[in-house]
Amino acid sequence: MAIGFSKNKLLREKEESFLSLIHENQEKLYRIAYSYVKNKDDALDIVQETVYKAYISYHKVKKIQYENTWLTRILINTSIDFIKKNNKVVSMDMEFIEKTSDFNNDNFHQTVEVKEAIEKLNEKQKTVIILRFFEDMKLEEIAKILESPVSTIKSTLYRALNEMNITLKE
Amino acid sequence: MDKKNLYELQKEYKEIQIPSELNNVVQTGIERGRTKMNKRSSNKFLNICASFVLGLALLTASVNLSPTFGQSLENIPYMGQLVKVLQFNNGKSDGGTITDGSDISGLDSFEKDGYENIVINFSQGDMLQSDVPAYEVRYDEIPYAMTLEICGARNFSAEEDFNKILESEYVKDIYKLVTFDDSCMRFVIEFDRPVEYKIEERKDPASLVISLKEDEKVEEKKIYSLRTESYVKGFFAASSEEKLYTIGYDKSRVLKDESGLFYIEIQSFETKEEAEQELEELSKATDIKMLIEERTGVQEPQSFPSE
Repeated sequence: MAIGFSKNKLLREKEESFLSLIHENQEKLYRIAYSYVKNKDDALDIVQETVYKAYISYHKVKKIQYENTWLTRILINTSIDFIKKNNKVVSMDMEFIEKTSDFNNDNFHQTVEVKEAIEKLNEKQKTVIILRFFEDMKLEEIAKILESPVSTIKSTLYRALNEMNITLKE
Repeated sequence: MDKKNLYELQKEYKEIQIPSELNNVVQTGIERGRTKMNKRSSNKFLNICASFVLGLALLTASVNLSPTFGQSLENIPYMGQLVKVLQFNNGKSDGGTITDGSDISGLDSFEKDGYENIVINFSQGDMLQSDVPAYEVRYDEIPYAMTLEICGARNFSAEEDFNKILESEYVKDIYKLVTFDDSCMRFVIEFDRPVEYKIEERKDPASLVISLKEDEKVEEKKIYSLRTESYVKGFFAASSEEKLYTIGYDKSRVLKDESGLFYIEIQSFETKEEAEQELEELSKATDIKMLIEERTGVQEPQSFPSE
C-alpha cells in the first residue's frame, strides 16, 4: 500500500507544518484580536474560531510563503464578523481603566486620546492602523492580507491618520 | 497628532498579556478542525458510495420498469410498445391498422437471446409511423418461407436493406413480389431450414419484429407440389395468381425456383394421388400450365421455364 502510506505521510507533513504555523503566530493572533475586542475572553474566542477555520481550509493554501498572510486574513475577517455580531455589547478594557487611575501626565492623556481616536475609525481603517503601527507590517504585506492594491491601503491609512488628527484637534 | 503617540500605543500593544489559556484555546480550535475534517472525509466516502448505489438502483429500476429503456440500452434497432404477439393459425396471421401511403422504410437484423431477429420499420414521409399498416403473414413449409403482405404501403425503400437480411443466419433469400394491387406490397423471406418463428407487432414507432430459431423438431418429409411453370417475368406470375384467385385458389403462393424465376405453388400434397386429382380438377377450370413436382425439405424447386 505504497500509495496509502505516502498519502498519510503527506497528510502528516501538512498537519505538522500547520501546527508550527499556528504556534509561531498564536500570540500575534491574540494581540490583533485583542486590539479589536479589547477583552480577553472574546479575543480567545476569536483565536479559537480562527484556528478552526484555518485547520479546515489549510489544504486550500497553495503557496507556503503566503500562509502567514492567509492566516492573518482569516483572523481579521473573523474579528470583524465577531464585532458585527456583537455590535451592541460595549466591551470594557479593564487594563485601560486601571491605567487611567494610576497615571496622570500629559503624554498619557495624549495616548488615551489617540486610543479613543482609533476606536472611532471604521473596521478597515482600524485594521490598517493595527497592522501598520502595532505589527510593523509593510504596506505591501497589508495589501496582501486585505486583498487590495497598495495604493488603496495607502490612501486608507492617510485618511485614517487624517481623521484621527481632526478628532484630536477638537 | 504625533506618530510618537502611536508608537507609545504599540508599546502597549506589545505588552498585551498573553493569557495562559491561549495554548488550550488553540488546541481546542485544532481539535474542532480535526473532527470536522475527519467527518467530512468519511462523509465524502459515504457520499460516493451512496450515489453509486443510488445510481445502480435507478438503472436497475428503470430497466425493469420500462422495457423501452431496457431495449434502448441493449442497442436494439427497434423500440416502441408491444401491441401484440401474433397468434398463428395454420401458419397464417394478420394485424395492423388501416393506413395509406406508408413506406416500408427499414429492414434490419440482429441477434438476441438465441433468436435471429428481423425488424421491419414503417414511415410516413420523413416521420416514423406510429402504427403498423394492415398486414398478413403466412409461413409455409417446403420450401420454408414467410410471405408478408403489407397494405396501405405504396413504397418499399427498404429494398436496399435486403443485403442486411441475407446476412442473417437462417435466411436463404428475400425478394419482393409483383403485386397488382398498387396499395399493397408483398415480399418473401425464404429460409434455408425449418424455423420456429415469433412475430411481435409494436407501435410508437411502428415495427414488426420477426424472431427466428432453428426448428429441430421438424422431420424431413416428401411432398408433391402442384405448381405452375416458371415465369420469365414476375408480371406473368402475378397475372396467373390473379386468375387462380378468381376461381377460388387462395392458398397459392409465389416463389422463386432454383434459377431465380417466379412460379406459383398452388398447393402441396402428401401423396401423389391427391396431387394428381387436384391437378385434374384444376385443369378443367383454367388454362394455366401446371405440373406436379416431387420435393423434400430444403431441396430447391426445379426450374420449368415457360415458352
